[in-house]
Amino acid sequence: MKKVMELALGLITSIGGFLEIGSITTAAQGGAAYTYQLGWSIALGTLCLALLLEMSGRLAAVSKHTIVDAIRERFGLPFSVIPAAVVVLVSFLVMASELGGVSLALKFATGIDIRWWALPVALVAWLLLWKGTFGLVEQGVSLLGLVTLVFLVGAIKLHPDWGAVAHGLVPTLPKKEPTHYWFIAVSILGASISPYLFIFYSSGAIEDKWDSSYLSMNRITAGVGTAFGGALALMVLVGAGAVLAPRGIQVDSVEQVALLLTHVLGRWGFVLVVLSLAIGSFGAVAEIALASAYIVAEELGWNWSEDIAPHDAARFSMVYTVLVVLSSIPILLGLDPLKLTMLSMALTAASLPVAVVPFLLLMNDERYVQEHTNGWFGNSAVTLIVLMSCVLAVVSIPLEIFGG
Amino acid sequence: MAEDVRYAPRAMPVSRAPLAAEAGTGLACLANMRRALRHAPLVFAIAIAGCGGSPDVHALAQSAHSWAATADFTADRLAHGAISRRFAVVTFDRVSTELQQLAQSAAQVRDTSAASARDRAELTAQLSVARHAVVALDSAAARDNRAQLAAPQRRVGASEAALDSLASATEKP
Repeated sequence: MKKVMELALGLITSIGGFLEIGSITTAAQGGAAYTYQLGWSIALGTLCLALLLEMSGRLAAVSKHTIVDAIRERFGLPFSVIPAAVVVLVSFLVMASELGGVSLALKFATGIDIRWWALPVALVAWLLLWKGTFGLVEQGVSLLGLVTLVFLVGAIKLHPDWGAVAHGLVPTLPKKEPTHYWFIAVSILGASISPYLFIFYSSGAIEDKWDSSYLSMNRITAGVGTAFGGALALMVLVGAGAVLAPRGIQVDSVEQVALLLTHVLGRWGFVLVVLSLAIGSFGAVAEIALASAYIVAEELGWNWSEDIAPHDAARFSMVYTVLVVLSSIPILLGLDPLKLTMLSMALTAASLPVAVVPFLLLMNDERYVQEHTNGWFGNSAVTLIVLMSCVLAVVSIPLEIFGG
Repeated sequence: MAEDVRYAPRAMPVSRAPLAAEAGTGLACLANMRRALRHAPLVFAIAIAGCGGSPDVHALAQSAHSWAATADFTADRLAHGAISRRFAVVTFDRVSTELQQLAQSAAQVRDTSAASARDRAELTAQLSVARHAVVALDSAAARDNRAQLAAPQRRVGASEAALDSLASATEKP
């Protein structure tokens, strides 16, 4: 019975915690600019994330190591410090954009400029981490995040051409603006496959004391939960394709995303989309701060856990405290959250091989995962998607920035 | 006092090499990476040059159209009570700011690029549509919020002046 409850909570967490400003805005941009044509990038990103989450849970359950711990042990500090530093740096940019997402939602509700919200939001996120437990951070916010199901309801009520939506799941070449097309595809992939997600997942499995008996639950949570989460992101793209694209509205600001469901759900459509943005992004701020603290503490061999008092893991608590405060600076300086989001998502995609390749090597090492090593499908799919994301990012980021 | 590391759960022993020595090796690796990355800007520059990076008149016109449609849609949603007047003011503020920037970019493109007369005419037409849409949103959102709208209205005024100047310059042979 306990396992069933844990499974249900795991599924809810995967669904309710999937959407945040990155996945919402990148999917909306894709839908507004190319209708349903970029559905494939959400599908590929979701598949890759599900595989990586399952692997990180399997590694933790079988070896009792987190990813960072195992990479440091297997490859040594001189090597492991590189992926750890890259992931923390990119995650910091993502965290700043998520904090901007919460501040923007509050601006939409109150009319008060986002710069006034940056520090209060950072303070509330820090309080949650300081006072809360791992379960509260992971499941509490995700339960509230079920409000994002509004995108599914909205997409159904919009009566899109489902045949065209299905057709979009097959990759096709763009008919216009190829650079922009690939840049959005890369941003969608980056929003889906953020390394902080599977690092957080593996540390969470250790926090929850998983063992080999959790392998089936891990497979279902990572597979089914992530698939539902990806479906929600696809519904954002469908909504933008059905509402914004026919009107010629490109998503150049988050205000345009807030209008997405007002057409079919009226005032509730507006309120629930703004709530989705606020809750999803707030959950991501807390998770990224925690994931970054996990990385630093595990890399340097410090004491770490969200379930013990901060004074028992002082350096771990200090890391998330400093990061949460620092992440408010870009918003205080007036950087556009959407531009920050798009850039951080694309950089995430570019940095993926650095984070994923050592992890894949571990997943094929019997000293860690015993007889539960990766199969050919997991290895090939993750390697191909990650390399494709990286190559596309390296080519499209400079073109997007300098080419217009 | 050093922290108790009992909580870090590990089944296998972690490498115990002295931290300072490991950090030193790590820094040497980073220095090697830095040398390799020196060539990266050249690779990016070649990629950009190969694909062209000049300002795009069509993109500016498309952006103007998008903001005009946003203004229209927002005014329509406000009229139907689907969004709050406060949010309409936020959107109006954003649209007017973007429009002003577009007018400035358009003027730069006109002065510096080899845009054809047809491109310039398209750009001017789209910016004009955007201006009308913003004025419509202004009147829809302004009913109870005159005081809040002062700043965005000043920006619309500035962008209108820039658009007028652009329109007259475009008409010149």
